[in-house]
Amino acid sequence: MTRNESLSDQISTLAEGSQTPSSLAEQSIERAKQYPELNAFAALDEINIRSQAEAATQRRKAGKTLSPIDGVSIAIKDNFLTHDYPTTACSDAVPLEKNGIDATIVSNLRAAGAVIFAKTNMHEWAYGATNNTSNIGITRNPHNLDHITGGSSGGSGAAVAAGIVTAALGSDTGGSIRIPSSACGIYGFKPSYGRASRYGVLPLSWSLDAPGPMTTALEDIEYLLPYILGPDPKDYSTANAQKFTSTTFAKQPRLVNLKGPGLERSAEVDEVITTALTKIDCSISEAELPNVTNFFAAWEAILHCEASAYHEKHLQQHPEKFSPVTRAHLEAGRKLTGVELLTAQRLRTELMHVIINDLPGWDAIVLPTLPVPAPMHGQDWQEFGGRRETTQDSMTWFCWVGNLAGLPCLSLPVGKSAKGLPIGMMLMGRPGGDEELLAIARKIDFCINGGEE
Amino acid sequence: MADQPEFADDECRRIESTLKRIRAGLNQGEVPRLEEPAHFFKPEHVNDEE
Repeated sequence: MTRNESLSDQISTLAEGSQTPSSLAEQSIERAKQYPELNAFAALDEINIRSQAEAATQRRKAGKTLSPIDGVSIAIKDNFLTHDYPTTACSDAVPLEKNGIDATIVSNLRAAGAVIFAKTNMHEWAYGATNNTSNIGITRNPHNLDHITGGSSGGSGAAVAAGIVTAALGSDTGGSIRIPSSACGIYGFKPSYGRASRYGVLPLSWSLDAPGPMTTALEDIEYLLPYILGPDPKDYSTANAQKFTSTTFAKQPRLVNLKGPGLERSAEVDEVITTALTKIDCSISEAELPNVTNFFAAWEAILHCEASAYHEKHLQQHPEKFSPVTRAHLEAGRKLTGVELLTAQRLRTELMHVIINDLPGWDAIVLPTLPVPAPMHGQDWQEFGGRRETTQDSMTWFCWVGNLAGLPCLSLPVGKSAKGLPIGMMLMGRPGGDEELLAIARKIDFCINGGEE
Repeated sequence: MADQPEFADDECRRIESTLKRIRAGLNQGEVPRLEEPAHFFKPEHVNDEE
């Protein structure tokens, strides 16, 4: 696939007047019709899209443009509440949250004039990383329909990678933005915990969840973050959140390339990442992350306990509405004890110490986003680096670290497999250092993909 | 409370293996510092008006 038009491109064409919000919306609707086999959307209402786009077109005509993104179409994962679309989390266990309101981030985007394009397919309740469990069916990878998109924001990944929209929203609890971004060859950004409002985003795990953008180009992320980062009185975790302020990174970045036990990857992925690292102007050291098994168990315990607590009432009333695999995850969470949950939270503190204090001086941490390229549909196991892991665990293999430690994380495409499937590199930054991470990513993206520095 | 459907054998195995893995991980090896549990919420951030 050639590089699709980016959100930044669309902002330019709208500003020049060579496109209108209505013409862009028609282009997106047409493209969505070209790719029904992707199954990217849970809901798409052409009348609603045209009405929003027409309003934006009239604003631009009258010189009353609300923001640079006024009139740009953005797709929304189906766990963000939207007042004009139902929100289902792609589950028959229908959300109990009130309808008719927008999540804070959706509200911010609307206030900036963005066209809320559609709701995207997702792994049921975001409780999985393949997008193969959804009450509307599996999502297919635009690069090869026989392969998965990854999840849980798989519909958003497919919609952006196919060029239907230039940007979409996802949510990330153990990689759910970064996994489909890597598998579909796009850019995905998970903000630091506490910088982006989760209000109106149906929870999977309150202390691990982070909403964020998935885009065609790196600079697109910076266009969207002003509407995503910042304090929201409806989400206590954002009380100290700073608004987004784009910055530069003047020094030569110091990267730590994490390897070692628990961080294995396929030879193919390793080669692509290693080759990409040779192209960039950064100082690179290697380090091991100790006790990976302990920390992974902590992430998994917190995830299952919080998800089970959130779904407890629902599960008691309508257990049959959940898919068997989701109900099994929830049951595991119900069986863990309070002591085990607090042990996990203590391990979480320890992981933060290790990352911040024990690793050699770093500005960004490097890992592949995934240990393997996007697996084929129906492939339940993956083999890489001497390991045999379930496809589910292979997808979250590296990504959970960023959620457990609350770090900002970015996945950027850096190469392709022998079969032509995208391979992504993950960068993780310091907690709250979202802008610095993006500035470092710009330098790296410029060296690898020729983006804007 | 609705009747809870039985889990199929493979789901029972999934639950057991998940718990076994988590418990083994939480208790495995020597982690040098086990400090206070991580806290994300501070009381002063709770807004009474919400």
